[in-house]
Amino acid sequence: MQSKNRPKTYYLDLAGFNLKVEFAKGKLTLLNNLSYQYLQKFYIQRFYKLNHQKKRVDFEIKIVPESNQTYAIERLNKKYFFLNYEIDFDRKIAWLYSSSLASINFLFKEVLSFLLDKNGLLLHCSSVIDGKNKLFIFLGKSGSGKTTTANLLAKEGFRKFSDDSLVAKKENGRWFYYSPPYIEKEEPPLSISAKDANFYFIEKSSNTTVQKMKNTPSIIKAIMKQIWTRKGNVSENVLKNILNLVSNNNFYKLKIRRDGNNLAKKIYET
Amino acid sequence: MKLKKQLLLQKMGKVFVAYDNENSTLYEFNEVGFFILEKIKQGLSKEQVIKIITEEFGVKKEKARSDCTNFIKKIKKLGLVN
Repeated sequence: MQSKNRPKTYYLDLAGFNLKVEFAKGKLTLLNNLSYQYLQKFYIQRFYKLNHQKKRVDFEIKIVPESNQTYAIERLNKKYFFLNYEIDFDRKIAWLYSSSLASINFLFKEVLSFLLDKNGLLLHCSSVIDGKNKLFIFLGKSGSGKTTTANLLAKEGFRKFSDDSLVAKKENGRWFYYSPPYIEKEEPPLSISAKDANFYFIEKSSNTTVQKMKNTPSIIKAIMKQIWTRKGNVSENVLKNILNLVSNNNFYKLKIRRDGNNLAKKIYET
Repeated sequence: MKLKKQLLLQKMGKVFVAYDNENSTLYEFNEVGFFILEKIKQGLSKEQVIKIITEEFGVKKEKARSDCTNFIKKIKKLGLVN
């Protein structure tokens, strides 16, 4: 079997965090091997090997052949997903076994949300980037047109940066933005980042207009509806990060006509 | 007088907010209101808070007492203290 010769430890770049992924010794089951195949297929370009050991490890995931626990997570569409991994965030160790691709994605999202608690946020949004590395982030309720907006701009030469979520991370006092390091809407991770961004709260309208938002508390309230946190709770750090993000960036209200007429022109007016 | 356990306090520049994790509600305060909330969180009594406000903000004790009493009434009504 090909898997006999595979390395046991990988280091994965998860939005600038160093993630150690270790396959534990044990009986190599078909499902265990599937975890490896999924990681290899969708994340191989983000793996690097043991010569980077000196770099600090931010989180460890150990893939083990069996586990006693499952977690149920309720999603927005009222469906339940049972995740088969154990988490001990205090020890910065997560255990994962016989996982599906969806389970790996959930796990990465949870790990990221944990790691970002100190200095970042996981935002629910779509985004595009232009040729000058300027990022345009679109926030809004489900069904408000986030994906449609990103798709309309992609047709006008912008590159899609993210479809459903984005990592905002404060590094040395500056905010950086990473495309999601996991699969989104069947798209593999892109592994791109940006440091210059504008934020737009979008809503459908009969005309495309853009207006700068000046009321900081209302921006904070709106942002709070667009963040993804573990167990749905907001920590003091998360609240601090939101206030910092809001006070260091520009936020706009963007009303969009269905056909997106004038959209690219309007966002460049900001 | 105790601040609600699920209430988070945070400030940034001139923005002073409290977030209630129980009902996902964000409250905005001015500097003095936020100062009072912080002191309640630290476990100070109403009389101790009034004394500090008088010293820190240079207001007369009676004015501090009246403003502080009104503010506490409001935050009690909102369920932020018990």
